[in-house]
Amino acid sequence: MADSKPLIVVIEDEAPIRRFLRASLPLHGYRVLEAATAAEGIRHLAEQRPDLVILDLGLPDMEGLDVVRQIREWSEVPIVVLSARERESDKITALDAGADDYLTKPFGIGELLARLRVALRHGARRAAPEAATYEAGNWSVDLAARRVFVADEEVHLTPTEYRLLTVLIRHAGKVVTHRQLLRELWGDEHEDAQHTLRVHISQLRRKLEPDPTRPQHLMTEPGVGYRLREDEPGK
Amino acid sequence: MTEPSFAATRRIGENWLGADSPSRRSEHSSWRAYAWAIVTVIACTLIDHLILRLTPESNLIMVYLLGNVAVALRGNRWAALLAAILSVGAYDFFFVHPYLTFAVADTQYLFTFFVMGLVGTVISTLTARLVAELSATRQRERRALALNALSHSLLTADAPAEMLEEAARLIGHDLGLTVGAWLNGEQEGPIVAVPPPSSLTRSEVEILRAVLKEGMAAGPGTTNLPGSGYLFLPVRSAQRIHGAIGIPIPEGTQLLLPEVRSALETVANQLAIAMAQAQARAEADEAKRKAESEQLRSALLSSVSHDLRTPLTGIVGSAGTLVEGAEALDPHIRRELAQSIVEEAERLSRLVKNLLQATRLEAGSVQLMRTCFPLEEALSPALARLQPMLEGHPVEVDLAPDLPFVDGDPVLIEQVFGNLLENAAKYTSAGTPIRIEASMAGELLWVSVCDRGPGLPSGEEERVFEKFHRHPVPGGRSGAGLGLSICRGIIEAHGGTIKAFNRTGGGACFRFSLAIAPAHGKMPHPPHEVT
Repeated sequence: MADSKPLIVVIEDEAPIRRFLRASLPLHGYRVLEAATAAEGIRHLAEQRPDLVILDLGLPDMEGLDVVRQIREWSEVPIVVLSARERESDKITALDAGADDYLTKPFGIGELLARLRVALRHGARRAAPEAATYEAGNWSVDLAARRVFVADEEVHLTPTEYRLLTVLIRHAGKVVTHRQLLRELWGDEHEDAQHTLRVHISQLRRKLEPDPTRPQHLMTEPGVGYRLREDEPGK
Repeated sequence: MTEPSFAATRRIGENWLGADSPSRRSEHSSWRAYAWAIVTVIACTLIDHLILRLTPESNLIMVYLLGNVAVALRGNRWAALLAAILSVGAYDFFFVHPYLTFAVADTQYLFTFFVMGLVGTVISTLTARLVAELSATRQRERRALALNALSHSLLTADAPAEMLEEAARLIGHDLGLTVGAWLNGEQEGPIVAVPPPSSLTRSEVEILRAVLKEGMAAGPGTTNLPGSGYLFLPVRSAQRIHGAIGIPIPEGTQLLLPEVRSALETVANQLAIAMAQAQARAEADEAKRKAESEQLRSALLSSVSHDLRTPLTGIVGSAGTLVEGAEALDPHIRRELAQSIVEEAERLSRLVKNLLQATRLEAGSVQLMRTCFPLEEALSPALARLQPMLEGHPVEVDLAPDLPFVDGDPVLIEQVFGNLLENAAKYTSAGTPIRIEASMAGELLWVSVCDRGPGLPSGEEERVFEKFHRHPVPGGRSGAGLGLSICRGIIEAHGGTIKAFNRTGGGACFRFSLAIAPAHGKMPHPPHEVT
């Protein structure tokens, strides 16, 4: 099974969306299993052990958030949630509950494929040991020696900035919510901490990005969190 | 008429709107007036005694007549009459032979007494009447002034309840009582506008209901249920009964003075007119609002139907062509059709998103997820998102490095940036720069997005923010005219302002204000950390 095509379970009640995923995903090397309800999707999940789940948050039979929680009780499978624009807050709670990434409807297939690649890679990495260095664009982070280089120049970070960067690197390519970052950095989530987090992100951008107002890697996802954008080799 | 009730009657309505009655007032001060009459006559007698040797006897009578006028000027005709009679008596007693008796030696003097008494009486009566009329005129004037003050205060109130409150307050103030007032709630009955001093008994509530239904006054002093503890006056105009005023009448007190009643009724009438006008105004406003929303709806419909139909036509046509002739089509054409479907669908999606957003902003159902964030957190994602559109435009960003955090919803502020940038890209020719600046002015952060395009047509600076207002671009894509109205909706929801103006040297500028984060607006250095 290891070298066969990755299996994706699509839990989505809207038939047109299922249809286009069914048509396009196999073209890009994925196998697709469809479910129109949460119950059916969870059954597929238990029986087939897929590599990734695409989950619509607006299902008829169950709250999207509850589906995420239920899956996370027993499975680490990467989950990419689909949310309608009116339900912005749903996607944040879903991410905080353990979803790996999100897409807002309507989304392009290119966007979807990028998210799937990142999520699958993180899913695979969960077992594998961490790499010793991280490279993106002209950044190079030596995780063993705790040194950061931009365009071969060493940049000095404060301990907090460095920890923040490593958390983002650990989730590279994926969105990380404010709450996740706070939890991983300080273990608390109060509003002051969020303010401090924003200050640190700003500092980090100033040190690592040539133009902090138009960052190339350390991206803001408004209202959600941050995403360390990676170079997309396959794109 | 027992003494306590008499006093209470005077308390209710005394001085009210100038309604104190002259007869009551003279009764009130009668003993003083009679005393004054006696004192005056004594004084006249003393004066006469002093001037007796210096003047002809006939002049003594003149002094008494003068005294009579002085008494009459106090306004009490009975006291004046008393003074006239006393004068005749005193003259006879002290100055007519034989002295110190009322006997008269010369019968000629009887005629003198008669004329003296008559003249004194006539003068007294005329003077007293004059004084009474003068005071009545003054009262009318005072009442007019008081009513004028009332109508003034009614003018400043615009809700019927406020008007009732104002009138009740005024009446209560002048009567020295707390006066209750109710709005006519039709089916649901009386609605308390001003709570009465004590809660109504069940029968009083029934009376109040009847007053609101029938529009007749009820309670003490009226023919309807005079036993009630309250005098209820309806506030009725030609159209309807707007409400009622309830004046508590303490037990055992006399009926309100007729003058007070009539003044109260005048107030009630004036109040009714004001309330009727207010209602008419409210109805006109409502009608206008309805018409406007109707107009907006039809503008929305026509705009939406056009903007929806155009991309839909493209999608249906292209997709249909693909379905029908999939095999026969040249791969190049097939790809082009598919591409157009994607583009048109994206256009539709943007339109629907904007429509939803505009509607939600308008309905006030957008909830701000307020937080403190650096401006870049809203600006950078917008710049990244619009990268393809901004391809031909150099974007200059000038944010001072020590700008404080702003207080707002980053998702919505990102949309403002997005819409303004999209606008700039849409209406200016390729190669022209777009400049984004932010600076502090007092407690506000002012952000501007400026371009070097054709600028705004003069007079359009305000209209560009109107919904569905669009400026035709020659040969260009024109939007649904929602972007700027959304910007305004978002900024105003944040308590800020947004304006458009032409910049010197050509081009349009959009500038908006944002509140800075209150507590820790400054960008602090992370504590106890060194690099």
